[in-house]
Amino acid sequence: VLPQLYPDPQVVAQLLDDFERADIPWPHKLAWRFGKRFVQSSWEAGAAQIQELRDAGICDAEILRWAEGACVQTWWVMSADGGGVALDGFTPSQGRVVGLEREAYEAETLRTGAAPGVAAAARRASVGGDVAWVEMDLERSEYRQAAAWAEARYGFVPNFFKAFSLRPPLYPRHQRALELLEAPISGSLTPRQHALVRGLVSGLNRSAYGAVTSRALLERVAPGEPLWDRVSGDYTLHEWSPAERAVLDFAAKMALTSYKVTDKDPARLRELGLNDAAYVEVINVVSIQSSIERAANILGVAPDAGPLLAREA
Amino acid sequence: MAFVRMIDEAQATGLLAENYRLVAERYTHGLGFPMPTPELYKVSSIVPAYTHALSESQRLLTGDGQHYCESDAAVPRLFAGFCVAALSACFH
Repeated sequence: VLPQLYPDPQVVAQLLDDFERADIPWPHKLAWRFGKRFVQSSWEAGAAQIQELRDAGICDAEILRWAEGACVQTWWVMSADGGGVALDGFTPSQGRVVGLEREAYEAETLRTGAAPGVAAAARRASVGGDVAWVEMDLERSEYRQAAAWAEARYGFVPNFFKAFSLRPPLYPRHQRALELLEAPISGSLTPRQHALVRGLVSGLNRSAYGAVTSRALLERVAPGEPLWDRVSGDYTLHEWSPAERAVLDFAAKMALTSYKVTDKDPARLRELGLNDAAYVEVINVVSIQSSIERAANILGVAPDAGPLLAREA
Repeated sequence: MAFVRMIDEAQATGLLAENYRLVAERYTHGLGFPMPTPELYKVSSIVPAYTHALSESQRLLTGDGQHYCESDAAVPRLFAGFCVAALSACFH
């Protein structure tokens, strides 16, 4: 798409090198900033950033579309990196040029900006609503339908549903994502390993929103064990079984630097008795959960009253 | 090349085959030229529930393949997603 938008290759190069100085329209620049914050430091977002977009003439429904796009893109990016898929239509030599030589990244300084092992922070005190920093319309029929689904499943309506009331097409996807996240579905990853991954990811995303569910899930699979404290801080300081440590290492790599994943990562899990389905499960849990938690961070979605775990489970 | 076993179009059956077909159709419609199912959608194919959810995401994000870049108004939202990919150093 970029060469269609900017026929001058110098503009494209400048955009990738230093977008702030690139000669592009102001709304494009704001969208780029939004995406940058989403992927690198969503926990630093505040209501002021939402207001800045409004001041530039961007309505809340459009902001939610940006969030939705960044959300889905996060899932795609991590799936592509974790799966090691070939670049469609690229020759091997082109692939090397654009970054298929992943192991070279081990020596690079590219990072997503997050430091590992940081516990979920409290939601930033910021001017805005109690539920989220964006406008809501809770009278819409699509919202009411999604809210009824959530009420039946969790006993309450999650704030994330309310925050996205101006962008109802997101609901079916989000409902499916929550179902997929609730427990391992392949039978290859144990419930404990799955819960550990969820706790780790909430910590790395500094997600006060996600922490409510991740913490409850860990308490459910290991009552009385302080797993949340161990996994949401610096997990490398604690002892784990070899399989748990390998799963946590891979999940952290996925969440922070998925571009560094190589074929050694699934090989390491296989050595410890985990199969490819377990590997796929970790990829998806990390990517789906990160997409939701980063969206919640950037829109200022307040933590829910309880965990997003089906009542009958 | 891929790190995990992936089920290709010829091996796919049932819901997985249907998802592959729909994804390819939406890309083909949106981009205006024939497009096979991208490999990205096959990463999770040994756990088809994830592939289905990815397909559903693509359907919602593109309005059933109706809008990829249908107007100037759509450009910023494309940019937000593109930035996520670029700054994740994901060249796919």
